[in-house]
Amino acid sequence: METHNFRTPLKFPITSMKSPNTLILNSLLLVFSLVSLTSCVDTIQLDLREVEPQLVIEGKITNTPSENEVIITTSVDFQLKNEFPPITTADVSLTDQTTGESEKLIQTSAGVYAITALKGIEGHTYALKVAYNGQIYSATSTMPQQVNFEELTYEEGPRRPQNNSQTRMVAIFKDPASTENFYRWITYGNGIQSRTVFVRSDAFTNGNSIRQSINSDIDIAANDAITVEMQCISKEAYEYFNTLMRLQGDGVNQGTTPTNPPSNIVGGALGYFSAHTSQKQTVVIKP
Amino acid sequence: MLQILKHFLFALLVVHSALGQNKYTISGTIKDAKTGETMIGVTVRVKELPNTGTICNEYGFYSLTLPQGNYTLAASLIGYDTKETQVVLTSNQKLDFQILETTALLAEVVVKATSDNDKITNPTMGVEKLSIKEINNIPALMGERDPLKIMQLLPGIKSAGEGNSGFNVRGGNADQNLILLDEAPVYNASHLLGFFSTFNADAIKDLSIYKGGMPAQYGGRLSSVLDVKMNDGNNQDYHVGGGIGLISSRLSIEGPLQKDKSSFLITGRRTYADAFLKLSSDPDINQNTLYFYDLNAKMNYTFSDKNRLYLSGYFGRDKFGLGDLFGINWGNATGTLRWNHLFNEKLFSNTSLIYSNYDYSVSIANGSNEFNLSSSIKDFNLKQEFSYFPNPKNAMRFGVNFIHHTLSPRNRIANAPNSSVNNTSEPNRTALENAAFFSNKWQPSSQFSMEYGLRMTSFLTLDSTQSQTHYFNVEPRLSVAYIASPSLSVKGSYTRNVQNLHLLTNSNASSPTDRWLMSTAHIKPEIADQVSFGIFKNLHNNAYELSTEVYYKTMKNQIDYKDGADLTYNDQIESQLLFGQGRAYGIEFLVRKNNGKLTGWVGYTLSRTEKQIDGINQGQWYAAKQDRTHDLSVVGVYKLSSKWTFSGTWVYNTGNAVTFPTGKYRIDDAVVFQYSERNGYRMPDYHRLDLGATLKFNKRKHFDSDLSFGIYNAYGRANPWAINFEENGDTTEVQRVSLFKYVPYITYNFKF
Repeated sequence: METHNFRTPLKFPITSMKSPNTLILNSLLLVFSLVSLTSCVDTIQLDLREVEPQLVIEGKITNTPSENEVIITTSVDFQLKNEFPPITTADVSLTDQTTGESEKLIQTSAGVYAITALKGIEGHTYALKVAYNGQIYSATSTMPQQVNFEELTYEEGPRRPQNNSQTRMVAIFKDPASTENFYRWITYGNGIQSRTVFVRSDAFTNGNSIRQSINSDIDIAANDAITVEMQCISKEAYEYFNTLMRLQGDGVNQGTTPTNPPSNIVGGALGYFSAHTSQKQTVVIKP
Repeated sequence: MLQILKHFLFALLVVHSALGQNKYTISGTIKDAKTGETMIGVTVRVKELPNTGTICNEYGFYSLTLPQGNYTLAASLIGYDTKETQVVLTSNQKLDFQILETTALLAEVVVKATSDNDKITNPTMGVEKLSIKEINNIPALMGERDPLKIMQLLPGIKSAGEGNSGFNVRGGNADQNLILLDEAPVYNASHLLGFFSTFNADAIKDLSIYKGGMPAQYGGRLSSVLDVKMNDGNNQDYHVGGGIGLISSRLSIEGPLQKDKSSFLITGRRTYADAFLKLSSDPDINQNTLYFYDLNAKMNYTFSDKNRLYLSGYFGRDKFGLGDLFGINWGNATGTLRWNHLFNEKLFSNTSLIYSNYDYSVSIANGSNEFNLSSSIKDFNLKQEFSYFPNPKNAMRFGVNFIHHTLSPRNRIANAPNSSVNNTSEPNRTALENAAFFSNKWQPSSQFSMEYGLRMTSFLTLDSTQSQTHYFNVEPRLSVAYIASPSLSVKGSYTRNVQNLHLLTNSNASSPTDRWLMSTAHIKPEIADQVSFGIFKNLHNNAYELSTEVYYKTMKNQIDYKDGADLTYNDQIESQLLFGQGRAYGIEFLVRKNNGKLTGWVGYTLSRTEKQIDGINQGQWYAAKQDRTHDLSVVGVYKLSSKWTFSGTWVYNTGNAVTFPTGKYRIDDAVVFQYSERNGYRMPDYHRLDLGATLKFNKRKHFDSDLSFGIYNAYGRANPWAINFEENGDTTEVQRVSLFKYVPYITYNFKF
């Protein structure tokens, strides 16, 4: 079963620090397509093996009252629908190792276990423990010191084909020189969260005042109120999301060798546990 | 090994004792009568003494030592008329040959081999040669005739991907090929992600590729040697040639500087397809630049019978820009100065001074994060080599080679005053790679011939930023042939190769920013041992060549990346590496037809390439990316008349080993794919048919021209270049990206 979609233009996955190969290739294909019938994208069926469902743990504790929860689901075969069965019978507990306080998490909806008693505090280390089906899964994460999100602005630039707009959101902040810092940005437009993962480390920019333009798949138009969340994340969380970021957009066999992101969860589950800070700012795009 | 040394010493003694007898040496240079170009690989036979003969070296020089007497010497090469000369040998004498290209219709489309049955009698195995004539008739993507892509149609040599000039030889990685242009290593032999190679067919005289059994004068890479020789230029008349194609044009000028004594050749090529981008009204497209050009130049001067000087160079550059958002340019420059000196009739010397440089520079503008990245690798190389022909049974080569490598790591420089990017300036890495080698081709009887040699290499890091490391390796080389009859032989060989420069690449397409690393205390030299056996049979008076070779190769200290390694934006690259071993084995079949209206070949390889690296797939052996079980190529050229030539190629191969997801899960409301093992799946099988035709126009005065046209992927097979996995609503789908279907080409070529 093949559905042909001849001469569909290739996706133009330009992000500012995309691999040079992808950028060159896109232009090259454009050139080739001028002299011949080239490049076609179609949907095919592949015979992918079935796998045992694996536990997926997504744990977050922040220095704000929202997004403090642990979501537990399982993976499914590639061919199935994007419905991921929640795990409703896990025993989940969280410990603030800095103070020694513990909390047993209560399930508030199917597979979602809320953190209510413990508060996320910069510099504190948190330990997550999940018991399910006779297995123990555990992870720790230390919340980094928050770097002040000074200002959210935007600028016009070359069009980003993945979101069809020329406007780029820009976060302004001063990176502290004394520490290694890792950042994650999430863009929200009209209540929708960007699916594009975008993280940076300060490896190239340590100690500088930074104007960071942010990639997202949100269409940005005049009069939109755009919110950007800046998270200061741990090194482990950065490595997890950096791997995800590099896997998005590139074709298999061309970019990074695909792999599961390195998880900080011990015991064989997919996912991550992250203690991070969160700051949000909103601007309205002027017409 | 001791036996071989003894034999070598014995051979030297024989030389001295031979001087006492009535033996004389006849020597000289073999040239093309029309152009004055020195010839490579011409056989000189003595008609009165069967099984006595020699093959001229890459500078056209030959030497034969014979007892006093009257002889008829015949110089022959496929595609050329055999030239016979009578000799009365009573003293050492010089005899040059000028051989004339065969103009008879049938022989015009020949596939050049070194001699009629040289493949049978020469002990060297695993070697394939291609002539430019052959390349010109085979259909090409976009009409860009590319010697490297034709090479990939031979067994044991596999394309690195759709339309890619990168290649894998007997399971080796693409960086394990030593690519030499007039002796200078070319570090990145591809233009525009490998869709085109740096070799402009107009500038090239001859190509040889060694898949195994490399002679001892070659070293430094694990899997193969591709030895490309540039044309010297016509020393008789001036000529201008060129071609106009869909995406590029070529022009070459050659002629004598001083007739018979010296000549020059300049060829250039420039792509212009990106000019069409300017016609677009879309500012995202019309601001893009994308092109490459290259220039080959060569000069030679004959001072006397004993001295000749060559100067050759290559310069090529690719440029790509995306408005002012992103820009990258990269290219190679090589230069070779060679001095051929004849000490006497038996001792030929070549001294080469070689320069090679590859560099790239990237500029990125992203808000305030503007910066440039640049990196280069540069070699200075001095090579002294002697060819010594003591008697018709022995032909020796020995010499030394000193290479100074400078690797400038990727340095980052902020290019705006308010840029928030910090500069880096890692110091250059330097090293000295020295080698000494000797080899002897020994033919004790008409049934038996062998070539044995030894290469000793030393690699010493020089810079003070790292602890000094020194590696010394001995690389034995041995090839033996048993010649059962003039049309049948059995050969065996053993070769060790060592590699001290390593390329890090994370994708199939060759990337300009792939990084070269040197051996360090942490990165050990790669070592490969290869054993191969082969049977060679010629049929119908050498019109058909049949051969089969089996090989087994082990590779030590292989380099791979950690799962999820970030190579593009990482300063600490060594922390991303893993080390392990590799093995490759297979059987290759080749049937080649060299004469007649229909020429061409069928090649088939059955092979396996595996790696075992601690940290990947739990340390189990797994299929390497380039592992392809079956690989079949059919190449046919049909000469219908003096006007029309038709050609076709068909290729089939098992898909590469790839990593596909086996499941999926949800993170932050987005679908993430789950992977189980590296290279656990296969790309779909690849096959493709290309068709081409050449129409030669009537010759008008001195003006020769032809029109080539054809179609690439004639039946429109959607060969996947990439397979993507996409989230689409509440399901996920597999998307196949195929690049080239029914791609036509047309090229007009001229020469006057």
